[in-house]
Amino acid sequence: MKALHLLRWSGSVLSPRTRPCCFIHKYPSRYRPQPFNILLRLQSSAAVPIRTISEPEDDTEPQKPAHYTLLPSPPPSRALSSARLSALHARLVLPPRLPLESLARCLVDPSADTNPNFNNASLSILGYDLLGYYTSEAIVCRYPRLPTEVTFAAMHAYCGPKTLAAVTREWGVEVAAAPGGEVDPGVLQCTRQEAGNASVNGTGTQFKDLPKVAEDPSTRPNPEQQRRGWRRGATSQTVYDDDFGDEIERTETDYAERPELRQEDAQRKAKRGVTLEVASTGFVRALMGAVYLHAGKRAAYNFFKAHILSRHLDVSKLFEFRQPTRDLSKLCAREGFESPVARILSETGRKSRHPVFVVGVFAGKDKLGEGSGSSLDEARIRAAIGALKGWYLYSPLEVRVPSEATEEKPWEPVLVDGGEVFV
Amino acid sequence: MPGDGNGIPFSFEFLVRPEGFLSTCTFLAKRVRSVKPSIELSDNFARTKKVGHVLCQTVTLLAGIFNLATGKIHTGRHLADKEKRSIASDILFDDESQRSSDMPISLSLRPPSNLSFLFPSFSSLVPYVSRRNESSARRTTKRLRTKPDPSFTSSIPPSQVNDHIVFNPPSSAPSPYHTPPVFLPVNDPRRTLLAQSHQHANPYDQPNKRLPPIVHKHKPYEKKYHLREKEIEEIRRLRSEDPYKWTRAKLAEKFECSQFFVGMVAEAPSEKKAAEQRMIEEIQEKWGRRRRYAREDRGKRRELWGKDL
Repeated sequence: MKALHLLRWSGSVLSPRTRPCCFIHKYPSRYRPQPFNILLRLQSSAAVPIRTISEPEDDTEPQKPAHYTLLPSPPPSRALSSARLSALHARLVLPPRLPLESLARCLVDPSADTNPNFNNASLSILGYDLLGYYTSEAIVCRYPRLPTEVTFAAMHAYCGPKTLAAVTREWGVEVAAAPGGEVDPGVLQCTRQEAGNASVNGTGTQFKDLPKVAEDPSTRPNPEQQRRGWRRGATSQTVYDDDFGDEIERTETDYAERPELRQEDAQRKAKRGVTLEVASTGFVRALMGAVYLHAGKRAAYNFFKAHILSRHLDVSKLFEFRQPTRDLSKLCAREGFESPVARILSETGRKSRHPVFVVGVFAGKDKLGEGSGSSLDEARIRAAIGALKGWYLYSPLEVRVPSEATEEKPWEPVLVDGGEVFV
Repeated sequence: MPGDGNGIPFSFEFLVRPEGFLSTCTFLAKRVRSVKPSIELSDNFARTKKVGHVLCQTVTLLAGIFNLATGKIHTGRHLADKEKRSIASDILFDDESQRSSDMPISLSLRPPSNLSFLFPSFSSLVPYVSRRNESSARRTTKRLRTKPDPSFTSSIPPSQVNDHIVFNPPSSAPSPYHTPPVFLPVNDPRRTLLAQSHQHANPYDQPNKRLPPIVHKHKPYEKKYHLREKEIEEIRRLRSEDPYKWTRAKLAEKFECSQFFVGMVAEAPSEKKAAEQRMIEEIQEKWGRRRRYAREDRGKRRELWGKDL
């Protein structure tokens, strides 16, 4: 796999001000001996227009600090003078190639600044994909037999919105009370959503009391419903839904079928209020994208490992079984084992108020799982759950992920399991 | 109190008289305060200030064991530290000068008659034969002499005791991350490794080792697969004719199959299902608070089994 020249490609995503060239120029001895312009000229296929150094016209920055209030978000030039931003850069041990201007841009939510050249929307889309890719490959390669639902739950736990919001808090990123050009660029800039108990334009009605669009609780296919003509389940979640198995809100096909939805969404966006969770999620994703664009794949993966993958998650706690004994017998039939039989390994106080039974599930002479409980039924069910978890939580001795593959050490296929048990 | 000149004060005599009693007390004191075994209850030892606490412990134990032995209960309240010390000094010192000069022990303000359990005359009232000191002391010693687990001591010379890690975890449920050997893929190296290992090899593979007893919840039965298309049609017809007469149980009995199979091939009509649901709800409405809560809790517990909590 060849190393990609990301700096050349990132021109369309990063606004001219946040290009790492400024940073490199500042410390020429540390990074590159030759200036960036020469590098661009040598690589004639570069897609970046050569306007790296010259200031663009669209970035009208007020000359006096008093005029900062006219801007929706702090100008990139103030990033260098923000102590918070430098502290955050140092605290997260971000690669030195990531300039402070980019870090400042990651902190600007689209709800604060709608200009895509200055908010983190583009970076956060990239970061979302990267986080989803790295997390899913880590989970799937580590536990190749994990059921789809559990995989989605693990994805949620590693890089879901709640986790990323917690990560933001752990990093010590604070939120601006209200966004604006005069605010310190080291705080998260977003327009907060109206609280549920706030009144609607002074009418006395609370926001939470407003009628909401009722969700269809049925998972059956509904021909009358144009948006979703399929039954929602593990398969449709894999195919149609996002990284976490959640329904994607609107797609272009939805807009084509129901044009009024577009207007509705535009109205919602015009309100520009987001929750803290959404803004924090966007920030972490944008930072991931920025690290990838400025410092490359290796640095992005290290960043991911240090902050996302290092979080402890007990995958065995994510399971929930409804009929474990039936699932286990189906599994044994599918895999060609003998049908499972529950056997009492030990017991105490059978006639007492608090008996304890230890039951093992056996396929022939092999013990598949063990469980204990205060009744034979409970112990049997727990033993079946133990056996099923033993199957699903299989992990190979050496775990390699596709993104680690290089030209010297190419990718070797890992175990692809037949899938979970369906009854 | 007068001493007998042998290092053991007179007042100890009645405690010492049953053989091994004092050694028991020393032993107990050791257990409590982890005193070095070389320490004995002698005058020299008692004069050092350091062991004041140990003496207090010993006196508490002596008093406790004495009560146990004679069946007498003394004043009925716990002795304060000060009092214990004064008792200790009463026992171990025979002249006032030593007491005041060597140990910071305050004199007991209580009259000695309150400390009745220490008086030799009291014990002499009880006939020697009726006392059960010896046996109870021996039992106590025996009970306390518990052997450590062999994994703590076996094959480790005393010189190397600190060089070893003793791993002795309590018994616990197996981890779900340990994949059973049958569930490992064919090319996984752990398959052969586990089969070769002594500790993790399947114990039931040996010919003389029998499998544990089966949980007799549902008796296993052989499936016959004897019903053909015609019989299934008959089941459906009967069920649709009179679902109240031809229930699952009746049909299963008639056609010698399981009730589950009947439910699979011929579902009850929805009116019957609704009627039965209504009947169940009527019954449940008559339940009192305790019964309803008990049923709900049972259901919740069952859900928790599924989450393995």
